[in-house]
Formats: sequence, C-alpha cells, structure tokens
Amino acid sequence: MHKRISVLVAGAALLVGACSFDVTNPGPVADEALDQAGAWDALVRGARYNISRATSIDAFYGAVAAKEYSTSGRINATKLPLVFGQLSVDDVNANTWNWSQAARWQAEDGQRRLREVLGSGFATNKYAAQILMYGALANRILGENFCEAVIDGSAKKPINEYFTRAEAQATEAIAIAGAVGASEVSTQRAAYAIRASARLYLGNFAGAGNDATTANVPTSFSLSAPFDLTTRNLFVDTNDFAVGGNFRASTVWRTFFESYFRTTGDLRVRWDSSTVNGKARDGEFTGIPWLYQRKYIPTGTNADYGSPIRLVSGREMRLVQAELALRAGDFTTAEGLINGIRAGQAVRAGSPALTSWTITNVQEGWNALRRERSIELWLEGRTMGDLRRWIADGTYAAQFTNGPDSDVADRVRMCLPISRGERQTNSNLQLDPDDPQSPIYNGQAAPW
Amino acid sequence: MPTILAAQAGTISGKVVHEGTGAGVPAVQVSIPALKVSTLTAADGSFTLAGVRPGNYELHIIRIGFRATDVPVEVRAGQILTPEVKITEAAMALDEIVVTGTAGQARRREVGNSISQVQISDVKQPVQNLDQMLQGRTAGVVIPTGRADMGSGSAIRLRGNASLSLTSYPLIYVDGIRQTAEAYSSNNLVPNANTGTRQGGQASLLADIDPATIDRVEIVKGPAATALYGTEAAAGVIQIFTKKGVTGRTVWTFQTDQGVRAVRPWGSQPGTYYGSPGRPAGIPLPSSPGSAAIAAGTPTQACIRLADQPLIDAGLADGLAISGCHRPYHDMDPYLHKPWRQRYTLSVAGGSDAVRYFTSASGEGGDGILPLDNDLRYQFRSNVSFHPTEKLNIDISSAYSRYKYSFTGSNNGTSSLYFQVVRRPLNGPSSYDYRILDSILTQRNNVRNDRMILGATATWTPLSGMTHKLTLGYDDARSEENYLLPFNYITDRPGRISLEKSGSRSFSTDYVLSQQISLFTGLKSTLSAGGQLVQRDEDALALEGAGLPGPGEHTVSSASTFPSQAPVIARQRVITGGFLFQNMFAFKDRYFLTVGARVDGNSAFGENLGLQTYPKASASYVISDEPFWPGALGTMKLRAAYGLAGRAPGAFDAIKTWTPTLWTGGGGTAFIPRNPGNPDLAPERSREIEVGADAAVLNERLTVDFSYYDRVTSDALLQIARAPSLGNTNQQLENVGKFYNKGVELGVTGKILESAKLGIELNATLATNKSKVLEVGTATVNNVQVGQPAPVVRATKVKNMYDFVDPVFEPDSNNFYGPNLPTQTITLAPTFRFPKQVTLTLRGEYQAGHWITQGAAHFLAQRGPYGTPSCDEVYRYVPWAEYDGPPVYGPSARINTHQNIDKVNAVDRARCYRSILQSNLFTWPADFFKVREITLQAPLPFRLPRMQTAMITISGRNLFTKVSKRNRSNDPDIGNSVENLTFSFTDAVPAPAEFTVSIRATF
Repeated sequence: MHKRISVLVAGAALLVGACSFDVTNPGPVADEALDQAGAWDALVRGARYNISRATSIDAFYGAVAAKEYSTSGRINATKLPLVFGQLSVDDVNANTWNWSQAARWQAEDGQRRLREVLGSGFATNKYAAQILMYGALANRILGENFCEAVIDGSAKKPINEYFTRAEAQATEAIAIAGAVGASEVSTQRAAYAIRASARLYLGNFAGAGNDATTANVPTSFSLSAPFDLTTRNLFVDTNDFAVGGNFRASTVWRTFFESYFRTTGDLRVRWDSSTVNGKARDGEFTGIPWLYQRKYIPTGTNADYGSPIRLVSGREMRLVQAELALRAGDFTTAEGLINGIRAGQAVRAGSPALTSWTITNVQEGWNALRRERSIELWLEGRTMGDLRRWIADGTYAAQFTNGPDSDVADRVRMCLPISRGERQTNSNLQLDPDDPQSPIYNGQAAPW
Repeated sequence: MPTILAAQAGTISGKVVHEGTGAGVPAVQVSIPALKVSTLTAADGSFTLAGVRPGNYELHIIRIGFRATDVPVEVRAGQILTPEVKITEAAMALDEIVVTGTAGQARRREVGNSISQVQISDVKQPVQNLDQMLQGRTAGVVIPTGRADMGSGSAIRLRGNASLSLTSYPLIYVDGIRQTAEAYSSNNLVPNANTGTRQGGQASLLADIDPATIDRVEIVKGPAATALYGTEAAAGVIQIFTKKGVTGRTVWTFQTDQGVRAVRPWGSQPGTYYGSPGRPAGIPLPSSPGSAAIAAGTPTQACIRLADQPLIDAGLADGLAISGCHRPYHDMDPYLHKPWRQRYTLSVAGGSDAVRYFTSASGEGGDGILPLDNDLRYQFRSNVSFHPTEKLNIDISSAYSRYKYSFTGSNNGTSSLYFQVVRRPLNGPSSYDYRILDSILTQRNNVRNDRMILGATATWTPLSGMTHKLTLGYDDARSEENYLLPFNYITDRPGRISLEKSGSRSFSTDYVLSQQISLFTGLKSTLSAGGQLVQRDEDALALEGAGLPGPGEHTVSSASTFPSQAPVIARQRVITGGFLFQNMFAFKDRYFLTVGARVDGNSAFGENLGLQTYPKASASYVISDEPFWPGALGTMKLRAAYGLAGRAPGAFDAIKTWTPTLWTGGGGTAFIPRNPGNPDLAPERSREIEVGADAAVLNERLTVDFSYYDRVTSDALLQIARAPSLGNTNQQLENVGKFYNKGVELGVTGKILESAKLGIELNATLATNKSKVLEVGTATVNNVQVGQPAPVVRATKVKNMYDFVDPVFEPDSNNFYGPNLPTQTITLAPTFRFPKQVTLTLRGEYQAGHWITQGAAHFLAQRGPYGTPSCDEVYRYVPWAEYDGPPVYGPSARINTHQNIDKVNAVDRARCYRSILQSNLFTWPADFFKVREITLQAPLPFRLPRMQTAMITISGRNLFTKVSKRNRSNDPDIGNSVENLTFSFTDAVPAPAEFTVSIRATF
C-alpha cells in the first residue's frame, strides 16, 4: 500500500513538474522583436510620437512663462512665482519632463539598437538617418525648454549637454541622409535646421550660419509634430474648445498678442473671444476674459485635435540668419530677412496687409527680431528658450527695450523644472533644499 | 431509545422535531445506511421512506448544526412506521465535515484553523446575491453595501487587504471549481477602455451564483488555512456548495420575492450644525447677510429646486449665494426612483439510490434607483449525482446565468448623471433646469453578462480508507457592453458609441488522493497528495467611435472617427499548476497534527524564478475529550495553524515589452515603451499564524469561536517608478514591500431563552484588524507608507482646524489620517422565536477606525457653482459665493470681509470655499452603524393543494445608517468597486435600502 501511494505521489509530482508554464501572449511586443528590420518603421515613428507629445506639453506649459499666454484657470494652468524664481515642480505638469526625456531616450536607444544590428550598414540606412534626426530634435527640445540636463539617470549637467548631443546627432544624420540620397532630403534639411538652432545656443554662430542657409533649409521647408484625435494637440485639448470648454486655463488677454492681433489681424497669432457652446464666458478666474488662441483651432471641431505644431522651418532659419546678421552689426540684412518673413503673411479679412518694420540701427533690429520670432514661433515652444539664451549672453539686457514678454523675464527663470519624479527616483540627483515641495504652502510664491 | 416495530415491505413515514422546541426540522437527512436509501425532511420535518425491506435497521439522522442521531427500527411487511425523532442542536459540531483548506475532506475536530460557515437555511432574509448573504454574518469578513447603480458589485475583504497593489479579493470556488475572475471587464487587456462613454460600476461574478441554489458557504480567511491553494490564495478562499438532490420523493420549491428599494438621505440635513467643533452645539442658525433670518430647514433659493419645483432656473446665475440650504440627496431628488423588484425561483430535487438531482431556475428583474437603471437576470443550475459502481460516485454540475442591465452613467465623467446634476460642470448642461438636465438621459448603457460553469467530480473509493477525487471545471464569463451618446448629445454633439467585449475562461483540473492508515493503537495517519492545474484565458475587444451620421440606431462602424483610443483586440493566458501533499496524524481522536505543502509554478513569474513552495502546519486539540475535563465545562477545541500562500503578478508584468500604438497622425503604428521588465518577478508571499479556540459551554447554550491571527506579507508587489530620464515612465512591479495584518475574531452565539413557545438567540461577532507597512523599497505610493496602515488615508491637513481664523496648512500635502479599511467590526444579530414558527431577526453592523476621502466634494467646493452639500451648514453662515477664502489663487480672491466669517472655523473655511488648495480636505472618519436586517418570518396562514410548507418573510435591509458626526454628507458604506484596494467616495449614489416580501413554498 505504501508503495502504491509513493508511486502515485511521485507520479503527481512528475506531472506537475512536466507542466510547461511558458506562455507567449500576443499584444505587447517583446523587446527582442524590435531588432528586426520590419519593426524599424514603427520604432522611428515611436520616437516621433514622443516628440509630438513632448512638443505639445512643453509648448503649453512654457507659454505662460514666455508670456505667450496668461493664466485664466487653475486646472492645467501654469502658475508663475510671485518673486523671481523657477517654475515650481508642483505647478508644471511632470509630463513636460517625462515625455521630453522619453523622446530623447527612445531616439537614442533606437540609435543604439540600429548600430548594434546594422553594424557598418548604419551609415547608409534611412532609419538611422531619421532616428538620429529625431534624437537631435529631442535634445534641442530639452535644451530649449528645461533648466538642466540629465541623461539616462545621470547627475545634473549644464544645459549645453543637450545641444552638444543635438549637434552631434544632427551632424551624423546629415551625413547618413546624404549617403542615402534623395529620399532623405527632408531628413537632412531638418537636421541642418536643428543643428543651426543648437549651435546658436552653443555660441557657434559661424556654424549656425552655415547650416541656416537657404540651400540647406529652403524658406518653404518645415517639419511639424503631427497629432490626431488620440494624441491630441494640448492647446486644443486643454482649452476644450472643440468639445465643450471647461477649464479655460489660458488666455491671450494682456499679452502682446492680444493687442497685436487686434491691430494687425496677423493670422499667425489669431485668437478669438466669441462664444463657446453658446456661452460667452470669463475664464475660470472670475473677471478674466477668456481669449482663446485660434492658431490651432481653425475649424472649431474635433478635427482641430490634429492641428500640427511646427518643429523646424525655413522661415525660422531666415530669422536665424537675421540674428546672425545683427550679431555682426548688419541691421540692414536683418531688416530684409525679417520683413521678408512678414511679406505676404495672411491677415484677418478686412485688415490691411502687414507693414514692414523699419530698422535704423542694431537695437531696433534686435527688438524687431525678438518681436518677429515671438510672432512667427508663437505657441511652438521656442520663445522661452530664446529669452533664456538672450538673457544668458547679455543680449536681453543690452538690446531689448520693451517687447512681447516685457516683464516676464524678470519674474521667472525661463525654463521648465526637472520633474519631482526624476528627483525622487534618480539617485544621482539630490532634492534641492530650495526646491519647493510647494511654494504655495510655504507662502514664498504664488501663481499670480 | 425505543425500538419501533413494523412488518413486511413497509414504509417509514415519520417526523424529525427539535428537541427543545418541538418544531419540525427541515432539510434533515434521514437514511438507512444498510440499504443505502435516504431522504430529506420537508419543511415541517416530515419524511417518508417507502418500500423498505423488512428487517432491523439503524435510521441515521443527520443535519449540519445538530447532533447525529441513530434510531433502531424494525420494519415489517405492509406496515407503516410513524416514528417521531427528536434531535438536539450541536452548538459545536466537531464531527461535521469540512473541505475548504484541507486536502480531501476533514472533520471539524481535525482542522487546526478557523473555518467559518454560513448555512442558507440559517439565512432568513431574502438575499439577491452572495454578497448580501455573507454581509455582517462572519467575523473578519467586510463587504460594503456598494452603490446604487445597477450592476455594481462589492469588494470583499477577509482580514483586511492581502496585497499592496494587486486585488484583495478572495479565491472563489463553486463546488470545487475555481471561479474564473472577480469582476466582469476586469482583465487589464483594455487599458483605456471605459474612459469614453462608459461611466459605471463593476459587476461581480459572485452575483451569478443564484443564492437559492446555495446550500452552504465555507470561508477560510488567510494563508494559515489556504496554503494548499498556493499562489493565488493569500487573500483567503470562499467555497460555495450548491444544493444536491437526495433520495426520496420529488420536492418542488417555489419562491417569490417582491420588493421595493429607496435611497435613504445621505446628504446635508436641515437644522443641524456640526461642522465647527468648539462652538456650542445647537446655536441658532445665523442670518444670511442681507436677508431675513432663515429657520432651520427652510428651503431658500437653490433649495427651491429640491421642493418638487424642478423647472426653476431663474435667478440662479453663477455666483449667487445659497443660504440655509440642505441637500439630503445632493440635488438628485428628481432622479431617485423607488423601483419595484421581483424575483421568482423554482427548483426541484429528488432522486433514487442510483441518481439524485437538483435543478433550479430563477428570474429576477426590475427598475433601479436611477432613471435608466433596469435589469433582468436568469439563472439556471442543475446538479446530478450518480453511482456507476458501488465504489464510484460522480457529481456533474452545470450552471448558466445571463444578466442584462442598463445603467445611468455615474463617476467623474461627462456622461455621469451624478456628475452633471451635483457638480454642474461647464462641459455639460450646466443648468438647474431639470428639463435641460434630462437631456443627459438620452445616453444608453447596456451590458450583457453571460456565465457558464460546468463541473464534474469523480470520487473513487477502491479500498477502505482510500479515496481518489478528480475534479474538472470549466468557467466561462463573457461580457458585452454597448454605450451610446446619441447624435446631438448635449455634451458630445457629434455623438459617441462604443462596444466592449471581454471574456475570461478557466479550465481547472484537481486531483487528490487520500489514504487513511492506522499506524498503531490510537494513532492514525491520513496522507493526501495531488495536483492542480488552472489555465485562465482572457480576451477583450474594445471599439469606440465618434461622429455619428445622425439620429437612429448605429453600430461603431457608423462612426466617422475614433477619438479616444484605437480599436483594441487582445488576449492572454496564465497557467498555474501545483503539486500538494498533506499528512494528518490523529491520536486518540483528540490530538491532531497536520503538515503539508504546495509547490507551484506560474507563467507570470519572472524567467529567473523557479517553483514556489507554500508549507503549512496545524494542530488541533479537543481538550474536552480528555478524561480530566469536567463535563460541566462543555466542549472545547484548541487550535493553531501556520501557513504560507501567494499572490501572482499579471501575465505581462515580468517581461520587457513595447506597445504598438496606432498613431493615425503619424502615419501608422508607433512602438512606445511599455513594461520595463523584471526577470526576477516573484509572487507575493503571505505567512500567517493563527491560534484560537472553539467552545460550547453552559450546556451548549453558549458557543464561542475565537481566533488571533498574525499575517505578514513579504515580497509584496509594488510599482516602482524609474527615473524618467531612463526613458520609460511606466512603472515596474517589484517584490519590495512588506506589511502585516493582525487581529482577533470572536464569534459568540448564545441561547438566552429557549422554550417550546419562545426563544431568544443572540449572535455576535467582533473583529479587529491592525495593519502596518514595514517596507516599500523605493516605491512611492501615496496610500502605502512605512509605519502606517495598509492602505492609509493621507491628505492635506489644516494645523488650526478648529480656530476661527483663516487656515494654516501643514506644509506637506499628505498627512496621516488613519487606515482606509475598518479596524473594528462588530455585528449583533438577535433572533426572537415566537409561537407558531414566527421568528424575528435583527442584524446590525458597526464598522469603525477607518477614514475615507470624498473627492467629489472637493470639486464641488472648488468649482461650484453652488458649493458642496458637505458644507451646507457652513454656508448658512457665509454663502459659498460670498467668500473666496485666503488670497491664494487669482486676482479675484477676496480677503475675509464677510461679516460672519468669524463664525466659521479654519478647516471649514479651507474646505468650503473655492480657493481651497488640495483635494483631500474632505477626509472623514468612516465609522458607521447600519441596520443590515430586520426580518419577520411566519408560516403562511393558508395552504394550497399539495403544498407541504409555506412561509412568508417580510424583510428590510439597510433601513438605517448612523455615521460619525464628523462625516458630513455621505454614506461610508459605499465602498468601491469589486477589485479596488481602497474605499473612497465617488460620484455615485449610495446603495438603497430595500424592503422585501417573500413567499416560499414546497410541494
């Protein structure tokens, strides 16, 4: 009997031991599958997807700091500190940092993967060119919008780390796109434009000038962050214009663009104050008129969620050339370039054509450039970086009088903070003693 | 015991009666083991065994809860015996068979852990589901009443939370077959589902088990008892045993329940002010500035709409003050119905020596509390048992249920009625004109749940003392949900439509061999060994589209765009398998020692992880069987148990993966990082020590069941955030947590008065639960904090809460309040027995020690437009719109200029006005007392032809609730969804009170 039981027990144990618990479930894709060439189209698109997300959220939360927008609500609104300081980690959506880093990491991880898999073929592969360009772009976005650099869990580094990486990746992208040929001309043009911008921050003005030529980046060229009803352009989403209007977090009220659009009708900074769902309303803060942007709301329907945000353009490169001319003291060339951008610009029905700026000296040239860049790149996530760059190199103090962002630069450091999540999970970062758990609680800052 | 004489091929037609009361006892099994014939007594205690061969036999009388009794009979040809057998209640039935938590089966005296048992025959109250059947009856079992919305199930907790991140729902077995899941649409295959059109609760799979088919339920509450269930059993096991047929005449049972439901007031009440402790109670209500004094309860302005004048909107522009208002139903009054509900059940049971059967069919339905709520449920069950050979018994069971229901949107979403009516957001009708609000109700939310359970158990006893038991089970739960916001819907003009289908199937195989061996005199050994294999397959499909072509009936394919998510079609499989063994040593039938273990593998474990072992050991000592034990002290068993059980991670949690995302804007599919991956991912391991005693004293008039448990869960799974600069902001489950639950459970049953005409019995339970988190690694989870309860309620705090000045906040936004789950639960249930089988049962439950947060009140206070009902008493002093609080946000913040602001304390200033900072100020003590049951049962005063018994039951459920004075305006018993780890208030109406009349008759 005992023997029989022992046999049965051993048999049962054997049965379980022989069971296979290996299950391959469909759906989420195993990491190894991305090593196959068939996955690279989607891999590169993933890098671009993250750039779209990062662009949208960075541009939205940076817009108030750059005074492209004013706060008119408390949900999804950026709150400025009362005294000069950094935007609080409590007031800026953590996804500004998270998505921007995801964009950089995915592009750079993709570069690593393709280098490993392709070997020497990397230098002539179109996906390599594309993912290098997106990596450069992601680094430019981080550099223009954030205060410090952190790479893959590192300690804080100077912000130029991003621009250095952007320059290097763009350089390689330009070379590989050139090797691939005509199919990657757009990739190459975008890489030139990204490198030109990065070199401005790095102080390599000659290099920027070489990149920003019409030959490298024609005026008509642009590359945009696409959106759709799934990813959604945050400027449309947060205003909730198309689907009902609720939070009304931001308004053009009391910005330069309120009066500029009123007087010129320049459709690059189009805003509206007409009814939303039948109710013309103040913003969520009582008494603040809600003047919502129409740059990304052309139709007032759900389709507007797909409004793209421009990332790179030839028009911007002409303004880069204008800036470089001013740095060389050549305000006449700058005047031509700046007014060239204004020429033929569409205006509101009934408004006269845009007038040219008259520039009679370098300082007028700088102010015109600053104004025109802020108009041309309105709500594209670029103005905050411009201001920080000009503050850092002394241009702001030396050249600017009054402008679209007249008092903002005195109120806030022109950059978005490292997220609290990064501070809490990155062992190489220390929680700064002056990094407020919440400036609202301790009374040292307020959002208004 | 007298011998009863009879003659050839006779009949035994007798009656089994209660020794104390003389009343007939139903459902008693009466058998003649020698002839292998048996029957059950009818409701009046009568029974008949016909065609009995002449001879001398033992009539064996057994019923759970009573002492087994043997009566010698002598049957003679042609004679009819009419014995009356008296049976006595066994307060502590040590020889009762239990099966849950043991390999094979065991007598209660042999088991070293506590096993709670609920007999349906003891449940006088008509119940609609198992949640109701178990609620407030067993120490250590917490089941919130839930929400009013149709289809919502309740969470079940046995001894608190068993996990910090996974569900704490116990394993459910039905006749040995493992239930496939906990709730419908519960698999995580559709991560973004339910975000669009669906706004409702989660339906529990337990509701598919027709309570009319349940015979009894066994509950084992922790790893000390559940080790042999292995990887999924750390949260306890509930095993449901359905009714079986018995040999004898066919018995038909018909039952109908007719009832009405109504929500009791849960909002602010007139004439009370308890918001600012420190003020003398009962101070007169102040005048509202600029208006005449307002008497308590007088409806004014905004309150007018509550006084059955739903069409008034005039003068209620945003920002207008409300004064003296009370909102007992949160303004939902016009939408709260008092629906009539019906339930019908018909079952038949019977059989012969060869085949026994039980079949039941039931139908239930009616409207719900909310305007769109309606349901219809059909349930069928059939159990057949037969003996192909003398040594082989086969039980086959099948069950099918279909539950179709419609519900009104709830929760925090634009298609939620509660949200739109109570919070009046701008992205809705935003009106007090109920004609406009009614437009929300053009939405449609239809759900159909189908459930099929098939099972077969073969029990083979080839040799004396040896049993092989093989159980095969199949459980298939499928759900189809259709949601529609029609074309031109008020919050979504283009319209929106979605379809979600989800399914969950389990195939389970269990095999156990038991062999009993006598080692030497007085010492027996019972060895059990076996294995279990469970394969669970889940699938899901979710489609959502927007932009409908116009009015009319549509499918998702009619939509022009897919706004919130790409179509999802997903499936996954999880396999769990284990080998188990157990040996029970019995000495002198009073010393028992059981040791055993289960070894498990699971497809969700990390690739570096091997099989997991869960050992167990328990001891039982029936001290009252010792010669030295004075008989006057009654019966007592001492017990101790130790065991481990686990909780497995999800199917994809261990693997590094990427998500293919359809990105139309980007021109195709994009890969984005999903799970960072953890090859070392292991199950959570819960170790529990339980000691206790069961006793019956005072001539068995008082029984006591006491347990102390100490459960420590290590390797607890927590989501660990990685540095975002590492590229993947998705968190990864890691085995970094550790926490404990400990407490005592006491169950007492006392027969205070017992006579033939009158009886009073009191059942009482007390349960405590203290939990503490010991380790969390680097996890940052707001409600899981080292040194604090698991889970804990943390929220913003005001330092100077009860000072009559502006609030000063604690610098940290997360301050300790207390545990989220009750730390003390007390139930009291007296039963009064009157002549003529009339009984009255009361049941009350008190839960205390926990805290709950009400997010909806925050949003109301912050965004208005009329403030929150939680602050209505405060608004009598300072209307909502007339004070903006401290100058925190915005240029419009006004400084304390209101003349009555000095009558409002700091915490109420912070809570009740729009400038409040954080959402968590509405954190209340969740203590409450609820009358769960008032039930009067009596025989029907008339009989129809062939009717054997007929009882009428009149019952009320949840008729009265008393909450903490500091908890303003909500019912803490609202709990949360089936799988949620925490309890919190949501934008939903609490569950209603119920009043039911039931008639049950047998033929």
